[in-house]
Amino acid sequence: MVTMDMYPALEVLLLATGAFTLPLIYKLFGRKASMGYALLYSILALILSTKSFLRIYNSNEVITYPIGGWSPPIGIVYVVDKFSGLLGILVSTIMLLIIIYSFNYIRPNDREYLYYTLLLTVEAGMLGCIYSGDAFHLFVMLEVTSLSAYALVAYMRDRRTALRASFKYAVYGGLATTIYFLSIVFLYGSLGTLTIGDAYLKLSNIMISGDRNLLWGATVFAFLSLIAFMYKAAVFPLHFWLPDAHSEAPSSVSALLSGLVVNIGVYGFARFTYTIFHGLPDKGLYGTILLFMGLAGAFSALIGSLMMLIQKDVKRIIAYSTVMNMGYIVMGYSLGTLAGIIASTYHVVTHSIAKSLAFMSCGSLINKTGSRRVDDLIGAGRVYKKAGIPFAISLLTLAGLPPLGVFISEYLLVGSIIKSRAWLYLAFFIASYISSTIVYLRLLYDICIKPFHGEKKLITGDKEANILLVLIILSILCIITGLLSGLVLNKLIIPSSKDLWYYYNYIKTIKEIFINI
Amino acid sequence: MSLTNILLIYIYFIIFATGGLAIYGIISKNNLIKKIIALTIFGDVVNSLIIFIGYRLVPKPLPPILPSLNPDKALYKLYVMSSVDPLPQALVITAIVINVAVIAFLVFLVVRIYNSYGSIEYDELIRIDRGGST
Repeated sequence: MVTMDMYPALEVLLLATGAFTLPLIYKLFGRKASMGYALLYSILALILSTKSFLRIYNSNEVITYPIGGWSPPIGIVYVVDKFSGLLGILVSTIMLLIIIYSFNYIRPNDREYLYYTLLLTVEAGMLGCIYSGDAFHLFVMLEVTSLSAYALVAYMRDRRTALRASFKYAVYGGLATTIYFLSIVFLYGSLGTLTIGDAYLKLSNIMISGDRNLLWGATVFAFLSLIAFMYKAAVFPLHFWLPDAHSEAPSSVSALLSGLVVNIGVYGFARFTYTIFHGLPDKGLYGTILLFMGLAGAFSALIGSLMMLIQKDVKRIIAYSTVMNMGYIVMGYSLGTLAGIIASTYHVVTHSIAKSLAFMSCGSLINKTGSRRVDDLIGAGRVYKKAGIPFAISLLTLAGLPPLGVFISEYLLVGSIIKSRAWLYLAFFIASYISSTIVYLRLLYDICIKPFHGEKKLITGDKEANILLVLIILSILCIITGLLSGLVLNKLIIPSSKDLWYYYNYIKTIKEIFINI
Repeated sequence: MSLTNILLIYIYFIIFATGGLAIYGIISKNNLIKKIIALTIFGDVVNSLIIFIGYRLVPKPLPPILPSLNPDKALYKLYVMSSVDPLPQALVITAIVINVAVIAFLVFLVVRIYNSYGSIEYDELIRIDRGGST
């Protein structure tokens, strides 16, 4: 029996509705009302994604929703397994925190409502990407996410460097999404379907019949879509846009981009690899994909950590740290073992939490001192303790200090690398780990321990309650994912990773709701 | 080799050559407007490729519309034999709409960039930024 559930589709639709009616609310009821409206919708999204996750978790089934009642392969279908459900909760939780943080962080001006509109659109796009079971719908949602993200990077349009960063991100992002569309052309041309689960079934038929031409088309599809996802996930040769875009955006947007948007690329890679290509009779294509992505991830980790050493801008350091961590995650997913998937899924969660905490707390410090250079921020964390202590916690977490979240996931990652005897990856991992830890600890010493030189400016009338609340929640999450890691792993991470690894559950569900012609 | 095959190979060659040129243009052109033009060309290349994939020659074509809500197998068979696949065209319409949004956003950015930098050459922008920061 297939569980049909409208919550995932409703969630995306609701967020899109909220985003497009928000300007109206602003015109009619003013600034405060529009902010409350955004908050309301993000809370609703969190409730709905939690509800659908609980439903999957309790029934141990994959829930589907064919839009408009058209079953696949004709219609678009939403397919949510535990892996998608977990990422959906992650996205909606951190998005809610970012919206609360923005109430105090974004200075009131006449285009503030557009900022919240874009935040809701990004959330709708990301959830659509995660829940979609259709490759073309994923393209549309990827474009929704990316377009809003480009606009958010250019939100501070009076700063011209932000405009330049946004242009760079947008023009190559446009190229990457068009390449993804090209890959869909090959998918449809060779396999004749757009549904992800159906693509697996058609591909296995081809493997049995041995039609090399169609297999060639599927190979082109695989590599073109991987290139697009590599751009979105900022993996090594295609990471060049990330440091500019993430450092020029407002800090809340940096937290959104670094914590969540890059995960969409990783999700696409994991979903396509483990649902379509995993378990093919011919291991050649599957193995090549894993090797290709694994090497890209390994180089990404190394390059990211080396570039961190020479940066002078605190936000650029954290941005390059994202490149490095995405390298780790991709490396874990491309090991091709269940242990690697568990480690990487856990790293996605802990890294998102720690990275958004790092960007938000350092954004608060930057607001106080008015500069992003590390030299000007020396000792700032010591003076402004409310943002300094969370920043220290985030740096310690990212550096992998034992009781905190990232330590556990990196420990699992090393374990899975050793278990699958990938010594090259291990070498890259250790090199990047050492070099990044040096940077984190140096940053910690500079910003949170050294005495403060400049004058302490007390900005009066600056409300900070929301910022403080968000920073405390995220710090607690950082500590919980570390201290209670056994509980989190057993209850959340391992079941979701198993859903990704044992793909037949997903395929079986798609098969059951097929239209029989 | 028949004329149809030669034409097919010619069309594929043209499509892929234009696509390659467009990617080259996006990466190597210095002028921001030229980058945008190359991006539109690349989008059009992909769109024409998918239209081309959906193309088929049928002697007496029927419109791809199901005449009743509960069609039987014979109707499906007729439909499959004598009408063009409508999906590629639906995909192209969606892709064109999305491309318009991206291009509009990029052009808006170029206007803002020209207003604040006074130039739309990419290396000129980098030079101005370096000069401003040191």
